Amino acid sequence: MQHASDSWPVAALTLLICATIVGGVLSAQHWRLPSIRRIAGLNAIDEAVGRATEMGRPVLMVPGLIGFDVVTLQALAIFSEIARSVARLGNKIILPTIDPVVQGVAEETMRDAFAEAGRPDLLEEGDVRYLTTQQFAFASGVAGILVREKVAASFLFGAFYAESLIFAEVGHQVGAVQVAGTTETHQIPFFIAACDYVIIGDEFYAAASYISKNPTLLGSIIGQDYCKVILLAIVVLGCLAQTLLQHWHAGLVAHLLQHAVGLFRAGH
Amino acid sequence: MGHFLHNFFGPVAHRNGVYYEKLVFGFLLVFALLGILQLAPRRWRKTIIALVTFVGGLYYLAEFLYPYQTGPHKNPFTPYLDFVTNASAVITAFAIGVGTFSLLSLHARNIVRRRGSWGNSIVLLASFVAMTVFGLLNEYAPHLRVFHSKVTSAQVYNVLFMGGYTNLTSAMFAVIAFYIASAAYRAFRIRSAEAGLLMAAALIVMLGSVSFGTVLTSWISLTGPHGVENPMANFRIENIAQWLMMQVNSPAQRGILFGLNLGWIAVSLRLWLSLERGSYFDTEI
Repeated sequence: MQHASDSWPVAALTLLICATIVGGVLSAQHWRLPSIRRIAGLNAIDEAVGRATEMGRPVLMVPGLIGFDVVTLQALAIFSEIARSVARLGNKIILPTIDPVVQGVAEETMRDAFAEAGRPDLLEEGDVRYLTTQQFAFASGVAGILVREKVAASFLFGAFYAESLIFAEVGHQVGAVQVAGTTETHQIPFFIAACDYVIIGDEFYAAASYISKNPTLLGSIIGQDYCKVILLAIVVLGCLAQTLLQHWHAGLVAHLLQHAVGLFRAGH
Repeated sequence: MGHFLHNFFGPVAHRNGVYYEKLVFGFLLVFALLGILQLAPRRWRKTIIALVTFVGGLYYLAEFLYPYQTGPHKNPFTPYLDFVTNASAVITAFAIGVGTFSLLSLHARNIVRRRGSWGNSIVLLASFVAMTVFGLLNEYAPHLRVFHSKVTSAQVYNVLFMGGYTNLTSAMFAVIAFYIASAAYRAFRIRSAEAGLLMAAALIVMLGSVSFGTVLTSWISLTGPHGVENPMANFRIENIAQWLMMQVNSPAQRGILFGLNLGWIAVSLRLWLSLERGSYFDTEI
């Protein structure tokens, strides 16, 4: 197990990041509501939901293949917003889950979303359904749902692995508009190849705030952006220091540079 | 107290009386806690959940921040790490019932109402029962003769698991090969400058990974006339492929990871401090 004492500078940086994010949230809640740039993949969500409703076919939402985790919860937060728009338009959703804990949370989240949109009657028992905990059994189950239910819009948000292409390709075969976003960087190319829209990297975490315009979530995004500036500055300064060390091997400057670079080495 | 908790949630080597005592106690404890939560007034439930979440997160933070060893003093939180992890695993295990109920009720309804593809539901329920029964028999009575035949329950389980489940999983995995081909075909159709760039990069990386590609530029010598490194060797296809992977692909992936990990920290913080109102349970639980 890691401890802060393994590297105090890294622990201090972690605390600074946490403080910056919480500061961003408080600032948005009490002072200024920030705005976020347009994200094409997220703008496509309403278009995909509207198209599915016109065609009279359901909307599929897959919250990834891991259990109850931050990534899955974020996916459910995005789905909650999508479900509100599905309910307002009077369409139906199908949300298969791979984990029993996620099943309970997903049911509750969808029930809330449909109730808030004023259409609790549209969400039937079985719309949020647990399939299995096994990766490829789940993949085959979702592929079956895509084909049998003739899904018109498919949203794949969460952690996906080798099965990502099964979802995306079967979705393409049935003619569904597909929007995907994953935290697994190795699966992003597969989604880019097979889906209509893909949100990349931290856009995944910005998605719920972008759709809901919730001050807490928007503030958190601003905090994250400040943290990126801090990290980028450390990376640039680290590169500069390491480059300068190639030329200065001795003296006070070299000593200071070595100390600065060493601050972020493990075991310092 | 600490010693008792550590022993109670520690592993049991054999399924003896202690094992079953712990099992029953665990069930009763969780049901009691859930019952108390249900009995609590509605307005308190969110507060209780937020408080439990905060205390749980605080434990991990304190364990991380407190030095592992300061002189003769060890971190006082670390010995309870297994206990806390086991406790959360026990609570999580209770949710399996929720998933199983959802699965069985959905397919039972399909069969009763003769919904489309209800035959699949029959197969699913039959498979579920067979795997559950023979899974339990394999664990507790592996030598039991099935239907008075020479076949034991362990053998039936082996056929179901290795012969059925494993092969079906492998087949599903194999399907990906065909999907990769069809997705790659669509991705590599040159419709824009970006798609052209993607195609060129993919071609170089693919050629750089196979011996045929290496042969194409093998005429570029690795060493110059005086035995020194030939700078033109950088243009051998395997070196260009390596450069693309290490100098272009890796930094891009790391950049994405920076953003993802910051997002992960932000969501964790919002959940830990219960700031995430409006995303999951906005209405009263």
